[in-house]
Amino acid sequence: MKWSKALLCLAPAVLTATACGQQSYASDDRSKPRVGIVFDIGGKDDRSFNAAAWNGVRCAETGKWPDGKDCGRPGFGITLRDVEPGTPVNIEPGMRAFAERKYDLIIGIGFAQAPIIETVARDYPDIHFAIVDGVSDLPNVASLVFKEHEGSYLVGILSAMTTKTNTLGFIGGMDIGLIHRFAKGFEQGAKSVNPNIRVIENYVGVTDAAWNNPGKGKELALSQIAKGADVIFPAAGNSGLGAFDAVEDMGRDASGRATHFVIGVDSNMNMLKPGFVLTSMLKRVDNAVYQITRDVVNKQFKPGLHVFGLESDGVGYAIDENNKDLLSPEAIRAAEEAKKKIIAGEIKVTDAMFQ
Amino acid sequence: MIELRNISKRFGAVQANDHVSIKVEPGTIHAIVGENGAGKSTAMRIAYGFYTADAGEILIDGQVRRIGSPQDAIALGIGMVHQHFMLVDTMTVADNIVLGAEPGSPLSLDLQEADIRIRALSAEFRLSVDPHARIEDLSVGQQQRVELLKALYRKARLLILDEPTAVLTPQEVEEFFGILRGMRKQGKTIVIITHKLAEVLALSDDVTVMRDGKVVGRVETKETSAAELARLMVGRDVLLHVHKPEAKPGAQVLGVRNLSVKTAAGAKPVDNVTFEVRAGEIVGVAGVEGNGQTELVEALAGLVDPLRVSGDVDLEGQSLSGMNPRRRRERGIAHIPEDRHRRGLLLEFALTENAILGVHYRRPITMLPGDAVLDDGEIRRRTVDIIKRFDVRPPNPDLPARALSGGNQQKLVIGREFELNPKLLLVSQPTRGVDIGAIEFIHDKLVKLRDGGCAVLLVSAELEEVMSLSDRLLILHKGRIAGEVNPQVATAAEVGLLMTRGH
Amino acid sequence: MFFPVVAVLAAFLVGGVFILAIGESPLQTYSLLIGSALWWPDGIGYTLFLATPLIFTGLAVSVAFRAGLLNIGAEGQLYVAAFATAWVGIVFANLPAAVLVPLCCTAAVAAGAMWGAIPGILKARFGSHEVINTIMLNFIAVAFVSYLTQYHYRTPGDAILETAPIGANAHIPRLARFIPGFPERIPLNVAFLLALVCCALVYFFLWHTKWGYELRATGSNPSAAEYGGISIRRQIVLAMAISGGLAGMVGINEVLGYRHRYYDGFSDNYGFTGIAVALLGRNHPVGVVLAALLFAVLTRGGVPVDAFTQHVTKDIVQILQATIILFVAAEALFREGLRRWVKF
Repeated sequence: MKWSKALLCLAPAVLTATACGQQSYASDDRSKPRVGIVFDIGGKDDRSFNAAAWNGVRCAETGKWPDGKDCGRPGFGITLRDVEPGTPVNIEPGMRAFAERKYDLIIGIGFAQAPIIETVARDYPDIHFAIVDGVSDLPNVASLVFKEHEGSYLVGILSAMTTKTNTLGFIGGMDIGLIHRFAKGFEQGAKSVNPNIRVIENYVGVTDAAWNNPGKGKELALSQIAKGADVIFPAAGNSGLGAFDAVEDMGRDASGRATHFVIGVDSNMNMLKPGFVLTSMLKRVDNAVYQITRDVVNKQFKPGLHVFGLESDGVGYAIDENNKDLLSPEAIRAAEEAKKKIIAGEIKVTDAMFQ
Repeated sequence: MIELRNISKRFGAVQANDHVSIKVEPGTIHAIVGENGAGKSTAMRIAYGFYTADAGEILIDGQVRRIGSPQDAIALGIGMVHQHFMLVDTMTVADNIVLGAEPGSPLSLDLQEADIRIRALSAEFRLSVDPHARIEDLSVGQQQRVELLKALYRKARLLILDEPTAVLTPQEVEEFFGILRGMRKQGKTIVIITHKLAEVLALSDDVTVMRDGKVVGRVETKETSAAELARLMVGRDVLLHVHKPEAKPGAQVLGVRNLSVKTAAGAKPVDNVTFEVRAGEIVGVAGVEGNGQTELVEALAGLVDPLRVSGDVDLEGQSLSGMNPRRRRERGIAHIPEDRHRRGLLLEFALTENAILGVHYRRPITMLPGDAVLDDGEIRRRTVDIIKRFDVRPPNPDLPARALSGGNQQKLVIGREFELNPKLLLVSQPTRGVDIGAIEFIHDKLVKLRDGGCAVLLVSAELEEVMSLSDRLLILHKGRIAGEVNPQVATAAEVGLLMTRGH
Repeated sequence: MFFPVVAVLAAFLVGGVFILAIGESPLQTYSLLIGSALWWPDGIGYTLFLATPLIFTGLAVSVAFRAGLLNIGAEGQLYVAAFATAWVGIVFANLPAAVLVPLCCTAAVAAGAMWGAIPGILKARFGSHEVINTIMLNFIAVAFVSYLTQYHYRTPGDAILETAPIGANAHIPRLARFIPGFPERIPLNVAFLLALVCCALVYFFLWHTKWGYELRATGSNPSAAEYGGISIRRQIVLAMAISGGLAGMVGINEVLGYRHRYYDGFSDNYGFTGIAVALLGRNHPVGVVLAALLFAVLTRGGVPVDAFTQHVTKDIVQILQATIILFVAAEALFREGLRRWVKF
């Protein structure tokens, strides 16, 4: 057959390539600690969750944010490699690509990677792993989790103190426990201000694609606006960016103040649409991955649960020059008061994921 | 007028033209004859700029010219009418004629002027056709006139006609020839590609004969004969007339009573037809194409949705109503379809796979387990047998059917259907697109099958063929039987009248 | 058969230009790509594992194509089938392996076949075009099984959209068990062998049984098939059902051999890549295997390329795939161009 002839011609080429490929595995500088990070489906440019993780590892590498500004903490001169899997099936090969090369730390981003990181971590017990948003009790895995409900509670207060329609919107990516945590905290915070407030809750989808559908995000935001919502809190990865477009489309009133607001999530997104972003619910994934990288560099890696809450500035809300005029002093005061009470245990925020 | 010198053209492995030289004198009608695949059309397409020759040159009025595209050819005064018309059905005659050579500026179409010119041309060349009629409303003969007008409108001095009579009735052919003779008188030069020898003799001044891509002879028409042309074309002596003994009809095999076929649109291509075919006779069906022949045969073969068929059809007294093609075959009906490319063959498949179409599902083609597995040995034996008995060339059972010439494809189909030992053979256009040599062979086989006691229903657009092969001849007109004649006695003119007028 | 190889080489050439343009060495990138996909055991193991679903879907598309049908619905068929496999594996978890594994496999094939037969029936009965119907059914399938997973079969409290695990008796062994020195962690499993067996079966079916003959005749020339006493409608339904059944076998690899549960969104567009695999493989089982291997190499090698080069992202793999498809699809044009180029 002609196929076999063609194969015969290809075989030498393939063999050389295989040999070369093996060589290039050695090309990483092994004197430095090596860190590999596998992003979630959204990819590192989602300006949100993955972007925060990217900020953290870049800061740990160079002492600078990805945009070149100083991050205020020392860099460690690590070798940093990243994979954007794009589809769920590429996550495991991505992790294994690092594990096979004996990386010092492999970070997985997103709860969906938890079972995968467990499988891989079992095969490579000498390598440190960290999973963001997921939980594993393997001795070589650090679980970095956040009290999103607490941060959401605070932005819920800020929203309730800002809304004129007494109607808020929440857009989740997938209809799952982790996101319910955002939703529940948000609603609880809002209702602590005004029990009659209404929160419209929508979800983008039921598959992983839900994190990556800004069009649908915008549609949902517009329909919530049509139902009266004037502050929208999306927790939907890339899809949430659609809500930013939606509030911007609504424009400003005569005084130049926006009529509708959106709340950023995970990263500080206040600068995305200045004037339209009421605040951002910070989830300091950057801090978390920075710390775990530092621990590995200092050979102080600790497995198990690392919880990041209000008390450790693992979650919070962002105020900067982009939004300081949007929030009333009363609102900020209320939020700060609630923050203290939560830390003190006087307010219990429902954790919808583990209730 | 035009001269091809040592033109060569190769398509892949096929040498379509091999040092072809043809010289056409101005003001004459020049016939180019040859079997299918002899290279006639290729040579003329090169002259018209459709193909570029690999070697050789073209002279127009004694000067070497480069014809790289049909535009070049038109500019040099060459026009071509293809076997399949190139007209836009939904546009008017005038629109079609000016298409590509629109008068007026690019922004405003001056149809007034076009109209005047078309009418003048119609009058000059006796090509009467209404410029404002839509093409789809015209008869085939009228459409052909539009094609001629199209060429003349572009000021063609040389007209190349590819198989122009294939689609015409005998009457239309006569009329058409009159038009061509008139054009010659007006000083036009005409090249006609054909394989019908009678027409060559009736019409042309000179003849170039081609075989296997080469020119094998050039003669003056008045100094040659059909037998000589046929010998040149085929390369050996050919019997031009069917020799068949007297038919000895036996019992009735096929009975058709009040058969009608309706189309989805509500038309009735077959309208209340009644006839019978007996064992040992060939019943011919003549008619202008599109008068229900196709639907009649397809209905008998079971290829028409039973819901659209009414009336009774029986085979040896047993009704066939509602039976699908497979059951009809099992009853003993074989079918040589009119269009072997559409119906009869799987062109991409090997000859072996074509040789079993219709019997592929049963013994001896299948074998255990479960009668599901094809018996390759048996299939090959059967194919080789057909190839041998029906002289299919090249005799390679593994070639795809597409690789065969039309005649050999047809022989394969005929061989396959004969292999069924049918009680009834439905055969349509058995020699369409088939070489003279193969025609003779096919006619002989049909007569032998008849003499073996098979009932044969023969449909053909070639009047000569149905008249010489049939023992009885039915004429179909608008889906009805317009009459039955004895082909030994009737003349072509009589049959032609029934075909066109229906009475 | 020569042409697909030319197309692949040409695609690599074009991809090389891209890599060069963004400032990396094409040679190093390609050796990383191919090398990491073929080294023993992880590279080759994962490559074969990734090829398994593509062989199934490539075969599925090929069979439909041989019948003259374009099955764009393999994606939906394999989703439904994977869920059905998991469902059987969960509900009948207590049956012995000898019963449960065949039962799960049957469920995979049956569910895929059923989902494939629907557009077949619609076409045979009402003449509606299979391309549109299969696309629509993809959406329905994905949403339907997501719904079932989300609201009926997911483990309470699980953050991930997946069903509970199937019974251990429904697991099929990984090939590590049969190959000494082959690590257990590589998910390459018996389903890969099943895929190869399917190739042989499909080949035998298409070219050595009367049913395959009828199916191919229908695809090659439906009018002639009808003339030959073949029921076109039946062939359409049959071909779509077989095609769907083959696509459904992806569920065996995924559920019984790999994740041991239905995981929502597990498919990396296997059904659509299957179209490209069939196209590149010339709708022939042997070609399908080779094309599936090639695409698996690209998928497997793409991740290290993304990770270990400075500038090249995994998008290079998509560029390569797209260029290959483009070249194969434009074969006629390409050939004509080549001929002219050689002549002048």
